[in-house]
Amino acid sequence: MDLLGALNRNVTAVIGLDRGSGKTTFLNYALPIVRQVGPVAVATIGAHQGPEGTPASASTPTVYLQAQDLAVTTLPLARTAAASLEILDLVPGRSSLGRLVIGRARRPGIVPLVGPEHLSNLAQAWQTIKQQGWAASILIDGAVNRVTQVSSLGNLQFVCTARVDYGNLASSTTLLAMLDQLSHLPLTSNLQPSTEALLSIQGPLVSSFLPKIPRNTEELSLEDFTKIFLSPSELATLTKRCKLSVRRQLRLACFVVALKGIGEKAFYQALGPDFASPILLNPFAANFCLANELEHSPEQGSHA
Amino acid sequence: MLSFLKYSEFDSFWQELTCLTPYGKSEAEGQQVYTERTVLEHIWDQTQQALDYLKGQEGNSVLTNRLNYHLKRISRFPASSQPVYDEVEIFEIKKFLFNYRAIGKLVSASLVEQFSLSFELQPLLDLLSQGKQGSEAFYVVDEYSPRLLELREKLRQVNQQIDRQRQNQLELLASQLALNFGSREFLVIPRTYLEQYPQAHTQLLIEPYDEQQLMVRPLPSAEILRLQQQREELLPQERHAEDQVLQQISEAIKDHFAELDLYRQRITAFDLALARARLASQYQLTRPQIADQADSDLVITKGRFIPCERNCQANNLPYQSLDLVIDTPATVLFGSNMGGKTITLKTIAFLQLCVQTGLYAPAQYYSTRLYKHFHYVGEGGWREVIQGLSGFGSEICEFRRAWQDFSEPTLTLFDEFARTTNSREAEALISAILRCIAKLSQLTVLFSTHFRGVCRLDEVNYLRMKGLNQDKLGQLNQLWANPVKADLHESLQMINKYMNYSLQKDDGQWLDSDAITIASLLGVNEQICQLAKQYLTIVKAQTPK
Repeated sequence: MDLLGALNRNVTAVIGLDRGSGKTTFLNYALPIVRQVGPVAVATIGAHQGPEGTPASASTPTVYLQAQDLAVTTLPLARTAAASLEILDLVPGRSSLGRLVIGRARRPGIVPLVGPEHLSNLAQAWQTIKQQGWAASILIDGAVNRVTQVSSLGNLQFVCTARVDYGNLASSTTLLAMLDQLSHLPLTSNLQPSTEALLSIQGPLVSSFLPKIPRNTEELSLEDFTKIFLSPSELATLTKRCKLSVRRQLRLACFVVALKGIGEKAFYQALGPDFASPILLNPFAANFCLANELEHSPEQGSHA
Repeated sequence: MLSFLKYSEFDSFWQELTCLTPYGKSEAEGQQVYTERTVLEHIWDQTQQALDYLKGQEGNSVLTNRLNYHLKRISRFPASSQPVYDEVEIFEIKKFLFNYRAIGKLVSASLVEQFSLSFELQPLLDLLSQGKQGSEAFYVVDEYSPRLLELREKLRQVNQQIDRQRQNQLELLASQLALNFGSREFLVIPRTYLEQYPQAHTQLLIEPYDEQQLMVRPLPSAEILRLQQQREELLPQERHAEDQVLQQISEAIKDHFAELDLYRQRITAFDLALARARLASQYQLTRPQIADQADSDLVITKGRFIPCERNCQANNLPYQSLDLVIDTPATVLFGSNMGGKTITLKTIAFLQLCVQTGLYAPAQYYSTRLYKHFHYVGEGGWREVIQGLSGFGSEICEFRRAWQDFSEPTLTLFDEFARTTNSREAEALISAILRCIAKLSQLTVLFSTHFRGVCRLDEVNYLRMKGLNQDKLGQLNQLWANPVKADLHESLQMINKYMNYSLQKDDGQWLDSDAITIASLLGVNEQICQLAKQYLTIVKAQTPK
């Protein structure tokens, strides 16, 4: 629970490592905890597309709000929402599912979420909510495997959810370790270099750029870590060659990992000893002790 | 008009007209060109009122910020009356009214009167603000309908019962099955759990999670299912009752839609007037004069071409404003290379567009008339539109288009027309055009040209730019031994310093274009420049006076 304290009075985007990683499940899990410090606003990016042939509304994420909580959704969905929404403002742009509104729940109930297609409009929506003081905390249901969106949404932190099983253990832990490493990149110390040792890059860092980095470069400065589009092995090679730094840090609140078919030990072993970010592990594990299994893990593990 | 607009570089200036309401922004995007004097005089009256107001508010940033805040929060609402308004549309109308009223309360009584900003729709705003809801938000509150109140009360009770049932169920699960769900919708438990709690399946929905674990959720009791069913039946009834309220509110809105539409027009005018006033204040613009007679003079005193003025400031160069009187339908403008002919034409285009888009003009004094058509004939005009035409061909096409409008008031600027063809034929063409238009008082046509052989007609005004002060420059050139070494910026400063951009009557005598001097100043090989001067002397001697 303490790990989720970082979500209080903050704007947090929840991104998933892969499809079915439990973003919306986590949102519904976190909502009652974050609500303890005041009403929560929940939003998402765009209209969620279901499998081919299914209507978008069938895969629309839903959240359970309490009275005074806020949601960004479309008017048609707001009208049918059990939470009965008061319209506080409109969101610029238009979704394929109707006009987008910022609504305040007048009673507890479920609300389907639909967001603007353009990140700038979503950024404007959460800034309005924050400026008007309508909600203490804001949670954004982000997209899958698109950490670049976090950077475009403005000055906010993020949570990354993952569902790890034997099939994806190696790939998932490699990605988690990479995100961990990137989110801890230091701030560029000297923005106006006096020597050629600091190379400052304005755009993305892609594989084809690597051979162009001068040999005498000691530090490579990027706008933020989401501008790195390298494979884990390319990144490992690069970090051996020079120091990486960022001009804007994006704060990672925590990872939320649900293990499926594997134990904690195997997971942590795959993650490696250098992993430094907090992990909320198995948040849905039951917190009870069976008479014959006293050694069973507690409700949730945390790792720092 | 497009090529005229582009030539004038007016768009970048127009972008600085910053309206705050969505209506003002749309109006500004439309960039309407007005041709009615009464309309423009009304716009300028309003600009002056806004200017007086802003001047009175200088130093009162709190009030200005509050006014801007409410202007920015003016919302759009449907452009035409609707049979039924939905919640978003009613929200937009309510937000519009709330902020409209706030603006009227903030500004002075005289301004309210001048812009007709008085607020008469309080009863409608009251209707949209019933019960407990945000002043700029909208919700179909219980107070609108006894039926709605009744249904929502039932829903509230059902929800409470469901919550109680769930709470009881969770307590039972905790005490009987040692499962603490808290606010979690499911739990993951080891499969061995069922060995210890074989009765769990009567209270839980159980699904496999992985080989070792199960996913469990509370199994809804019959009572919870009954209550949920009841809620599902109540929700559409609530929706129906809300629709009836929306219908009632829509009737009230329809009754007042004409007034709403007037409010929209008034706030648009107010927003635009403030934007025009801010621009006037920022750039020291003055109210233009529109002459009474159709064939009256065009008078410019200290006219400024803002893009050039800004450019000069950025490059630390002095800017020379324009003084000019145009009292004939046709004017021919001669002058040095880099002597300001094009800038003179652009200044006229710029000033006229300021006037006819309702802005004040960047001049100490600008008196003009109103034109229905605007044309620019010169480089970059039509060529971009029609591929395959030569420079000359595109100019001719643009001229043809202009010619079709010459029966009505038209401002046409020819910048170095036919410069890409044989000079004698070009002179013949320009002469023919001059002869045809010289007496058409509905026109104002200006030619900038180097062709000295154009015909001389009594009805045409011939002017020339004063050009380089050769005497002073000659003295300087002796000191400035090697111009080639000077960089471009230095050369430009030199040219700018010794160029006189003002106009004088042209008497038809030989006029050097300063081309060789300019070439020298810009670093052309000195031997070439000297040879060119010698050739020029020979040509001059052979030219009959």
